[in-house]
Order: sequence, then C-alpha cells, then structure tokens
Amino acid sequence: MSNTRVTVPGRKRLMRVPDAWKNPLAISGTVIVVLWLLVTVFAPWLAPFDPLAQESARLLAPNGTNWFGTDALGRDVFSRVIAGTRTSIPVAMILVVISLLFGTVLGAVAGFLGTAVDEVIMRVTDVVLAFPSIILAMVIAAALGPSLMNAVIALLLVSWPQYTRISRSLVISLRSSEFVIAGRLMGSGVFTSLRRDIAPNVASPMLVLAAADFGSAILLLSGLSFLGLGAVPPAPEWGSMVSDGTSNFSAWWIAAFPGLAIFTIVVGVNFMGDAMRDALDPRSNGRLS
Amino acid sequence: MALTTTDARVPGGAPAAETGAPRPPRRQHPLLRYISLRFGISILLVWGVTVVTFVVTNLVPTDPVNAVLGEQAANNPEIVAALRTEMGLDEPLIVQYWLYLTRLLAFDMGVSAQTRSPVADDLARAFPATLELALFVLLFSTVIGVGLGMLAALRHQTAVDKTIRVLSLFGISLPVFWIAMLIYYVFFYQLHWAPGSGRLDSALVPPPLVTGMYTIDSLVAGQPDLFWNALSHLVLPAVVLTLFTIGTLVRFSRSAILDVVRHDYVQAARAKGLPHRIVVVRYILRGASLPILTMSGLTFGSLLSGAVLTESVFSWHGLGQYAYMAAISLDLQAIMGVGLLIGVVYIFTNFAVDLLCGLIDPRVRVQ
Amino acid sequence: MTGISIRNLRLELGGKKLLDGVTLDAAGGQITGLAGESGSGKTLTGMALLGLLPEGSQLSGQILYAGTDLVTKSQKQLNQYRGTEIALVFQDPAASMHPMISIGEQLTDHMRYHLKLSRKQALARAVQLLQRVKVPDPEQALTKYPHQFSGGQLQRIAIAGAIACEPKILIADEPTTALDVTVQAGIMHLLRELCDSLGLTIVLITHDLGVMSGLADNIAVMRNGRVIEFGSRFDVIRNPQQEYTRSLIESLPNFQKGD
Repeated sequence: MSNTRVTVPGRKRLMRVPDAWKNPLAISGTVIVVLWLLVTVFAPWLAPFDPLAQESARLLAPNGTNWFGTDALGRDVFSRVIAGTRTSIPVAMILVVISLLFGTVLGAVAGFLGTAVDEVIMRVTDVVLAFPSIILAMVIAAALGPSLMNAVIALLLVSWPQYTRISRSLVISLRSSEFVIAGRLMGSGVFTSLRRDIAPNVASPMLVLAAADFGSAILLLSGLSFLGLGAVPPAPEWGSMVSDGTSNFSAWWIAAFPGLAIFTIVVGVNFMGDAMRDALDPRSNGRLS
Repeated sequence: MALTTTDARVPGGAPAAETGAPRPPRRQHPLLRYISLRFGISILLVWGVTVVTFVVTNLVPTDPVNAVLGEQAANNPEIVAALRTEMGLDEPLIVQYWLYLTRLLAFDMGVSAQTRSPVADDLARAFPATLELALFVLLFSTVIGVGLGMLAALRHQTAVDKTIRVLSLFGISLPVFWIAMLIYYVFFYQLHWAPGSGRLDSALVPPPLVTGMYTIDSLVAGQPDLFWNALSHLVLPAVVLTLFTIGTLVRFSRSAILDVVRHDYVQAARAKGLPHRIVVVRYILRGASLPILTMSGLTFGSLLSGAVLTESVFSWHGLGQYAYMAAISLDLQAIMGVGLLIGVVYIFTNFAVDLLCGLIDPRVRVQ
Repeated sequence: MTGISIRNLRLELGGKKLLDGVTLDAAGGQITGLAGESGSGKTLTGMALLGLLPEGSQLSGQILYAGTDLVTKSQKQLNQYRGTEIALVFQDPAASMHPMISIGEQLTDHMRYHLKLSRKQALARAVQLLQRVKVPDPEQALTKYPHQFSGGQLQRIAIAGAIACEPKILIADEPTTALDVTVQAGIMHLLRELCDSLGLTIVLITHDLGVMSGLADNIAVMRNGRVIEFGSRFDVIRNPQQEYTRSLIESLPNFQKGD
C-alpha cells in the first residue's frame, strides 16, 4: 500500500461493545439466542425420544415422561420441538445470509453504477415489495410445490429487495461523501474505493439489518410451513407442528410448545437487534438500564 | 431520483425540447401533478404484479390443464388438446401473457380447482369479510398503537417507555398463527367469552348484501341484534390481528414522535406558553401525522398477510381462509387470484395514503 | 420597564456543569447582548429564562423577574410567563415554525389562549402585528404556510408571534445567523425599533460580536458557563478587561489596532 491512506472520519466500528453490554435487552437476547443455538447443536443428545417415532400413546397431556405431551400420532412433542431447531434455525440462517449477500451486492451495484442498471434493479424491487412478503412467498411456494427447499427459494425471492434498497441508499450517500471522494482524488481506483471506503461502512448497518431480519425469517418460514407450503410432514418443523394442533384443539400442547419455541427465539433475536440498532444509531441514546 | 424518472412516463409530460425556445410554464396545480405521478407509479406497479403472477404461474411444473379438468377428462388426449388450444397454451409466452392480461381486465382469473367456481366470484365473496376485519383492526391498532407510541416517546427513557418498548418487541415476535390458536383455545374453547368461529352464529341469516361487511349491512338493514352478533364474532380474530400489528405501530410511532419532539417548532410552541395538551395534539401529533399515516397504510397490507395466517383458525370466511384452503390443496388459480388481489389492494392502499399525505401536507398542497 | 436579573445560575446535566454560576442583569428597555463561542452556555442561559431545559438537567440559583424567582416555579406556573411576559425568537425561523400549520394559526393560537381572544379578534391583531414588523400583504400572509416565505420574512413573522402577547422580555437566540447577510441588518433594525418603541427588554444571544457591537446597550461575554465580562457596549468593546474578550474583538474583520 502507498501512503494514500487518509484518515477516514466516516468509518465506524460495528458498535462499541461495552455499551451494548450494559443493555439488559442485549444480554437477555443474547442468552436466549445462545441457548437455542446450543439446543440446535446438541439436539440429538437432548431429545429423549425419536422425533419421528410413533411410540407413545396418542394425545397424552404433558407428564413426567412426555414433558410436552404427545401428538395425534403418539410422537413426543418435546423431542419434536428440540429436533425442530435443526430445521428452523439453520434454514433461517442460510436464508438470511444468501438474501443479505445477494441483496447487498445488487444494491451496491445499483447505487454505484446508477443510470439504467439502477433503474431496472429498483423497479424490480418495487414490484416485489408491492406484495406483502408472506403472500408472494405463498404464491411462489405454491407454484413450486410444497417442500422445504421450495419454501426457502420462495422466501429468498421475496426477501432480497429490502437489503437492496438499503445498501443502495447507503452506497449512494457514501459515494458522494467527502472521505470517499478524497480517497478517489488521492488515486484509489474504483475497486479500492469500493473495498476500502465503501464496503466497511455498508457492512455494519447491513449486518444489523440482517440480524434483526433473522427473526422475521423464522416467522415467515414457520408461517409457510403452517400453510402446508414448507416442511413436509412428518419432518419436525415448528410451523407445521402448530398446524397439526389445529385439528386437535383440545390437545393444546401440540401447538402451544412449538409456537412458544418460535416466539422465544424470535424475541431473543429482536432484543439483540434492537440493542444493536441503538448502539449504531448515534441519535438514540435509548439504553435500557 | 426515482420519482423524476417515473415522472417522465406519466402521460402529459409533453416533449419539451421541440424548439429551442424555453418551454412555457404549464400551470398545473402541484397537487394534481403529485397525484398523477403517484397514480402512474401505482399503475406501473400493478402491471408489474401481473407480470409476477404470470411468471410464477408459468413456473409450475404441473400442467394447468390438469387443474381444470377432472381426472377422467385429463386422460383423454383430445379433450386435453382442445383445452390447450382454448387456453392459449400452444401460443408463445408473450401472446399467452397478452391473453392473461386481457382475461384479467375482464375479471377472469380462472376457475378454482377446489370450489369449482370462478376465482373472481370467490374473491368477491371473501374480500368483504377480510376487509371488515382489517378495517376494525386498523382502527383499533392505530389508536392504541399510536397512543402507546406517543406515551413512550413523551416519557422517553422512563420506566413507561422501557416497558412499552419491551412489550412492543414481544408483539413483533409473535407468530400470528400461534397466538391465534392460543386465543381461540383460551377465550373460546375454555372460557366461552366470545364466539370462536364464523362471522355469525350458525342459526342466523346474514343481512341483505350491501357491502358484504355484516356489521355495516346489518345496521343498514336495521337489524341491531345481527349487528351485535356479528360484532361479537369479530372480537377474537380482531384481538389476534391487533396483537400482530400493534408492535410495529408502537415502535414506529414512538420513533416518529421522537423525531418530531426534537424539532425547534415544538420548543417554539412551548416557548409561546401553550399548554402541554395543545403542544402535543396540535404541534407534535400533526408533525408526526405523515409517517404515522404511511405506517397505517403499510399495516393494512400486513393485516392482509396476518389474515392469511389467522382466518382459518377462526373459520372466518375471508381471503385468508380462502388462501389457506387454496394453499393446502395447491389450488393454483385461487392462490394466484389471492396474490393478485392482495398485491393490487396493497398498491392502491399506498396510493390512497400518498394521496392523503399530499392533501394534509401544505408543502405538497400549496406552491 | 421591567428587566430581568440572573444570580449565580447553575445548570448540571449528567454530572456536567453546563452553567457555572451565571450572574447577569438585563436592564429594562435595553438590549443586553450575550456573546460567546458555541458551548459557552449562552443559549442555555436564554432557554433557562423560560424554563425550557434539557430533560434531566438540574437548575439552581435565581432568576429574578418582577419580584419573583422563576427558578422556583413549576413548569405549569412558568407557562403563565412564557409568551406573555418572556418570549423567544429562535435562530432558524424555518425550523421554529411548524411546516404544516398556517401562519395565521401559528400567530394566533397563543393569543387566543393567553389573551382569551376570539378567532376573529386574534386574526385582526395578527394583521396589525404583521404590519408592525413590515411583512407585506398581511391578510394574504396569514393564509400561507412557512415554506412559502423567505427566511427574512419568516423571521419577521416569528418576531411578530413573539411580541403578540405583549411580553416585557424578548430573548433573541442568534436571530440572524440563519439568514442571508442582506436581510440581517433589517432584522436587527427591527429589534432595535421594537426595543425603543415598546420598551422591550431584549436579551440578544449571538456569537457575532460585530453584530452585537452595533446593537446592544450592554454586553456580557460568556465562557465555560460563566459571564467573564460585563459592561456597557462602549466599555467592553473599547476597553476589554479580559484577554479572551480582547481576542474576540481582535478577530473582528474591521478591527484595526490602535483604533
């Protein structure tokens, strides 16, 4: 590298970690999420029964053996909730990562190049955003046929535009900001400028957005499965387990526990996301103490 | 930037540079310009939505002919061939799209494989039910949501603010289909506090059709008993959808009001010695009205999504239940119809919101 | 003519001393200039006179006005002083006027509240006020919105609003900083003229000693939350006692040594 490195006032770190740690929301959110991640990793050892085996009596209420009761086919609900982590969590992660990467890059390209490319990309995002996301995902998933893979494809197709929009506007504001121009004037090429001055500044807000979006990815995925357009039975997936409960209202535990699982992890993620947004937003000193 | 480029496509944007002379200023009212621009954008989006539903329909690996025909007929190659020609499936895609579009303009969205009746008729029946629910919820959740958001913002950084903030985070984390079942189970199945399914008690006859919304139609027909019954049926699904939307509304109105409170004009109003009540209602709330209105519009859209995931639990015969039934039986024509309708409703809701914003905001209204 | 006196005013926010014992007399019917760099506490002093302070801040000391100490008053009691006894003109009129409320409404709402005027009476008075501050076509102006005016016109309108309820004290916080240089003099003349004809006591807050030296009767120089120099305009400008004041004066564009 040459000595063209200018001091860059616009560069900021992801967040000041100590600040975020003073926030009880951030701490409780992180604890919840880490617990769920541990459950995901150790699921096979934590589940007392085979999540697919129909070995117990049917529709047993929660008891000492079947902590969360059994479903209409005599499967252990607790084991199925544990096993369900291995569907919802990794799939939602993959979903968020791919749409984050795709959406961000597309938005950066649109913002950096401008003109016709920008126009085309933004019109497409407009049309996709003209649908409420679960509706468009439902339409696509129904067309592709019900399977977990197709649900993921459907959700990918609806979830990239929000990243595109934001990364585009970030890039546009950065492109004309003084420190980027200063870098360009001092001889950085387009690529260097993108990599060194723009990318780090786009990355942190995008990551916060993605972290917060992980919760809605889980909600959307389980929503599609609830509609029968996601994971195919008998696979243990939280949304379709809740849906199993609709035919047995008296056996409340069939739906209650998987739904609670979805709720707790999404709450954890949203607590973290909220705290991170606070730490990033210079205007809000909204710290919960 | 996006606005100006789309502007160029709006009819009336006459070619300017025909002569070298400066263009005579067209005395078009700014509000009119704004409305026509927004309308043009909405029409473009609707067109885009039809492209999406068309493309998605053509992704289908299964032959749409089979969806229309019974199993026996589908095994008869002559009937299949005749139908293919009739449906235009032998034509190139662009022609097929044209046929699709002309059919749509005549409100022909195909026949539902499940109900065996035209999708357009089904939607016309189902939509008022969902609209009724959505309007009630929109009213409730906007009033409560904006109220709580304002309370939190005005008590910024206090215990009230923090409590409301945590509760709203709980709200946005709820899987709506799950909370629907819990509420159904507790308040109908266990406690019998409110009717749990349908739009009216099964013994009752719906009021004569005016709007399709039972609460309104019963009042129009002068049947107060029917009105109260319909209202009691609304309660539980309305509570669920309110829970579903309120978190976002609270968070959004809180930050919108915090933005406003920072402005000098609020300090200026206080410096004039106006009482707190007037400052809040006249200055702060009016300042936050545009973002809150926009948010309510988006809420309406998300209510339609919420309806898809809740109506089936309450046997509410609206778009949501129709979509759910269509989804689980893979009734593609019906699903496309729902998607198209919700997309269009969503777009025009946003158009209506833009219009209202234009009417409210003097910076748009007057030059 | 009523003046206002500040005695040993202290303001703390989160352990930080923002005002550190401000003492100042704004004599009745005169313009008292409050000079100082940003962060010196001059704006906070002005806002403290109205009791409009940042949340969580703690104020002590005395603000003596017409025989009472305003520091001891509750927010509700202070509301009886705001607008009617002590009024405020902000720096940027485009920001201090609500963009979505008509000039007519913003000029009359406090008149109707404080003076118990009817809508019609208040509007009639607003027309007079606009004539008073030389806004052309007052009737028309009342139906318009802030974005339809230039900054200078808008500041005149804001001043009209400030004097609407016949306050004794007018605090003008950098009233010309956000305006074009060409209209600044007009606003300053207007303030001088209002001071003289209405007997207004004006506290003029500005970082611009040049503006102040042409307008203020007395000048206070603030630094780090305290008044470090106070005296008549002539004394402060010609014979500054403090090194800091001297450096401020020497940095004026038309300053000539030995003048």
